[in-house]
Amino acid sequence: MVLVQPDDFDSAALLAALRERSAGKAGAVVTFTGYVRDYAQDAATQSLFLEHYPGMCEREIEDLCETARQRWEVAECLVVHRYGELHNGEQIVFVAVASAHRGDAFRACEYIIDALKTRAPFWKRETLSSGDRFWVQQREADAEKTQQWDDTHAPAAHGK
Amino acid sequence: MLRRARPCWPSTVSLAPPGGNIVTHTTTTPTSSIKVLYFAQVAELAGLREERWPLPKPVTGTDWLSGLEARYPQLAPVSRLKLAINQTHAPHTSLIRPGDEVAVFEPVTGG
Repeated sequence: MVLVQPDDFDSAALLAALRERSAGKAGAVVTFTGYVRDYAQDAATQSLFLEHYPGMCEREIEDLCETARQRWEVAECLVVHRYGELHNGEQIVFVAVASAHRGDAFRACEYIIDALKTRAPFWKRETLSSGDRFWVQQREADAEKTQQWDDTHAPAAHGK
Repeated sequence: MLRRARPCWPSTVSLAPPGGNIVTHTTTTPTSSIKVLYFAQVAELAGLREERWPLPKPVTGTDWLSGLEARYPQLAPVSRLKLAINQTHAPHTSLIRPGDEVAVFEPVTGG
């Protein structure tokens, strides 16, 4: 399930729902939560604005979950991503993967959040406490990480 | 994998005369134009978020981006920009066809 929404989310409730849906199939659940932090190195962040491409965001993230299902043993997959005005310390993104085995759950969860950073059409604009605003640039390290996942699994996805 | 359906424009009417060829009448522009969406920095630089562009026949993303740069020089260099065609990431070598939804944006920064 993929949710793209402005509202905050309750990760405990989401985890409980995931456990219910994967009851008996999942020996492991791995979750990742991303929070707003100071992006600028030498100035305090006041807030973050996340712009998104409605429709394409949901489809891209669904595609990533589907790729994860092809590459690893995944029983259930849940991603929630927020957009709009967010403040320091607030939750931005939640990824949860349920699997029979912890290795698959860890890898699928890490793959989804890594690939999401370079594929899902979101853009962060940071406002500093000084009032200055700027758009956050994609980090080369993020692009390389996604590339590494694809290289590992090229040319075809591994069997389960 | 999810597959993207191509947009279906209601303005195209097909008439099939008895025993004749199918004649397609296009009443408005969508079949000879594209919907263009600008996001984030690109929207700020261009000064708008959405517009229609005439496009009578397919062009490559690279050629279309050259036209974009001519129209909005402030977007240069356009080689850094990303394209999505019908809500799917598309390399600059992809073909843009009449009726497509084309999005232009800087590399994404979600997560």
